[in-house]
Amino acid sequence: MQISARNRSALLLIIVFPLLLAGCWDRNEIEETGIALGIGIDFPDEQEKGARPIIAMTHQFALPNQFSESTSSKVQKDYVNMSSKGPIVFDNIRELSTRSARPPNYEHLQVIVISEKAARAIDLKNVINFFLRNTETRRSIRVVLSHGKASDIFQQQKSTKTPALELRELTDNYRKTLRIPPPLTLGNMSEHLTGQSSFVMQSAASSPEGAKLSGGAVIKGTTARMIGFLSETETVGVNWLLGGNHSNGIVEGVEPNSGAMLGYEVRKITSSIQPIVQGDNISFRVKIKTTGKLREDWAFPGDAFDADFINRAEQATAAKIKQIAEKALAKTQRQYKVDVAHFGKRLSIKQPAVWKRVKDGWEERFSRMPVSIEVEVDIQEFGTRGTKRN
Amino acid sequence: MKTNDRSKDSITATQAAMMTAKAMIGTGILVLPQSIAKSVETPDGWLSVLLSGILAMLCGFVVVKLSQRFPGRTYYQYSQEIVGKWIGACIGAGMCLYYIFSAGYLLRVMGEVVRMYLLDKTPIVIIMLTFMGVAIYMTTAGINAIAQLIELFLPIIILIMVVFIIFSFRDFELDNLRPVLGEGFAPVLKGIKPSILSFSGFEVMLFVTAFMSEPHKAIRAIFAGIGLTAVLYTLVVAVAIGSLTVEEVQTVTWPTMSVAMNIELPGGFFERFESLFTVLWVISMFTAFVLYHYGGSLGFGQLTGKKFQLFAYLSLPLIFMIAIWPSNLNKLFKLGDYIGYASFFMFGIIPVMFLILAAVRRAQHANKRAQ
Repeated sequence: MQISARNRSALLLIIVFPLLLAGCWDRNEIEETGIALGIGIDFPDEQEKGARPIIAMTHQFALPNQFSESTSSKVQKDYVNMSSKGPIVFDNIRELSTRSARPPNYEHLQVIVISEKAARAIDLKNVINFFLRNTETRRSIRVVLSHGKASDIFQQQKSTKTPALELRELTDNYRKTLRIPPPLTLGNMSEHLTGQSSFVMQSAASSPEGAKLSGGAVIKGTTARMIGFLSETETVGVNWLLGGNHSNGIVEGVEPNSGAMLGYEVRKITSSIQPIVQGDNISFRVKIKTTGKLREDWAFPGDAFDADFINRAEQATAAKIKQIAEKALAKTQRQYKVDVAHFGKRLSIKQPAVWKRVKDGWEERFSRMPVSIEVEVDIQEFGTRGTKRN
Repeated sequence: MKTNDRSKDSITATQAAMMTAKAMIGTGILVLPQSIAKSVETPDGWLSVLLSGILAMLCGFVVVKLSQRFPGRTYYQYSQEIVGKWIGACIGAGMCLYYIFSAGYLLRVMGEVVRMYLLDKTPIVIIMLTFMGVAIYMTTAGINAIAQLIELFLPIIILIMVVFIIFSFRDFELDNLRPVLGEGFAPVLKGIKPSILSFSGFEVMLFVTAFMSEPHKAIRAIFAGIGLTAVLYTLVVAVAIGSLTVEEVQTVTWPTMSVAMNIELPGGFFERFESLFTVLWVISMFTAFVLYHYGGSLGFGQLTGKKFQLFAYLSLPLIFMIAIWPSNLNKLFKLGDYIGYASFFMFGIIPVMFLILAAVRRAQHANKRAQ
């Protein structure tokens, strides 16, 4: 077969070009990168006096599964934790290079845990700044606060799953329960902090069974520091004020006639905040509407076929929700003096002119403003059994 | 000269519209939300973009009307007729330089984004040289090939933008765009300056019209091109502010990329959308670069009466030097601002003057003939 000169040069190019392709500066062998799954940020107790405060970091790296079954029957851990100390985040990461041959890679980072102490002591805008500048770290990484030390969260307890992955899955459980606040992504956190708006974030605690999410932590927007924790009930209240997001959750009411307990399952929450401005007096009216179903009742006969009973159940649930929401407000608005349910934002949308006047020192002013809550519960169904007696 | 050969170099009205749009959709899509948010400071930035789009259409109207007066001839050729040989040549050369500078700026921004998001350790010079190596191949092929390339890529680019906008809606909160006009209309006006600059690019019609097979459709083409860009820009700004908040948009370098990095479909099914986005954005930059490069070389060619291909090669080192000139990112953005101002002067003001002059001249000619 004859090959023309033209074809021959084309063939030559085809052979030469792949050689050029292989010469790549940015080649990363997957075996040689340390895939970071979780990062914990702590504020160590032993700080040098007079010097700049230092932070401690824990990296959780994934270990590729090794074929080492023959050596021992022990369950292999599929992660390794490394800790470091330094004045800034980048220092910490550089310190890792002295101990691990694998350069850390953050493209699969799942969760950042900040300890309570660090969040109270350091401006959070600075803590997350490195991660926001870095292009490897996605803005959708979850951020969680920890009771106690962040490094403890990454210790494997009884569960065989990698703690960072487990925690990440837990953060998404806000759909199933009202007891944890909505998950906070790195991006959202940064948005709140730049906008100086306060927010509630998920908080984790280590327990013998592994990490557990419990209640929420309140971050004050103006100082970018943590101001306190919320109990589980208070978190439920904040969730009612925030509305939306939750599709599932249980409210235990008490039926007024018999004093019997009721279980109401939430399907949908809509909460609307109405600012009322009269001269210099600003107050708010919160309307919470929810639809759901009656899951359980301890009343006898508890006849759900009877509209009156459903009505009473609705009112009982509404009363309970109102009570919980007011509790949450008492804690956040009156005690911590923060605006976590975005009352200020509502005011700025409805009355921009008024907002301009009051936005300086808003949270201080807000803490004295009256808020009334109205709850409307709509029980749409009651399951496959309506009554305990025919 | 190229223009004499009309049967070879003729493009349709659709192609012209696409070229107009493509010349505009370049760097703006990445940096516009930030510059808008910085100058507007309220969530109303998207209104500024919409208004600027209408202003750009006005300028575009003038540009096309001017070009239609001289069928089959480009701006470089007829500018000499309007204001005389030397001034015309100077203005033509100014426009060539503008294109060369724009190409250099585009090249550097492309390099910076690729370095930041894709190839961290690869020297930026290599990225830019490779890019230019491919671009020269395209540029020397002439306007028909460029038009066909753009016809092929623009739908893909628009598709990826639409996908981007749809995916971003998971994180989009309407409340971030409210209150609308909370502080009146004044902030919106402040946003017009940065946004009108990002509409520069429609002026390719100054030479594209000459190649159109149906020049009477040029108005429709430029309106379609600018309209498409305006809608796309408005949506991108709205999405960026809606999902990041105005305050946050002011703080990020490449807001559109940050929005793309927010995107995550449930269950980790689809992550790292920004990689796909960067790749397609490089294609988008490529088509814009080729257009500018062609515009500059064509101008030099027609001014000197030589083949434009020669100048396409000659201008490459110049473009490269302009690209490596800004020593850091802030200086690069400064350069972009200056190019924007230059475009405003050259394509907002000069065409209006030319149009008036041309009309006056014609009237004089008519008078002479009548006498």
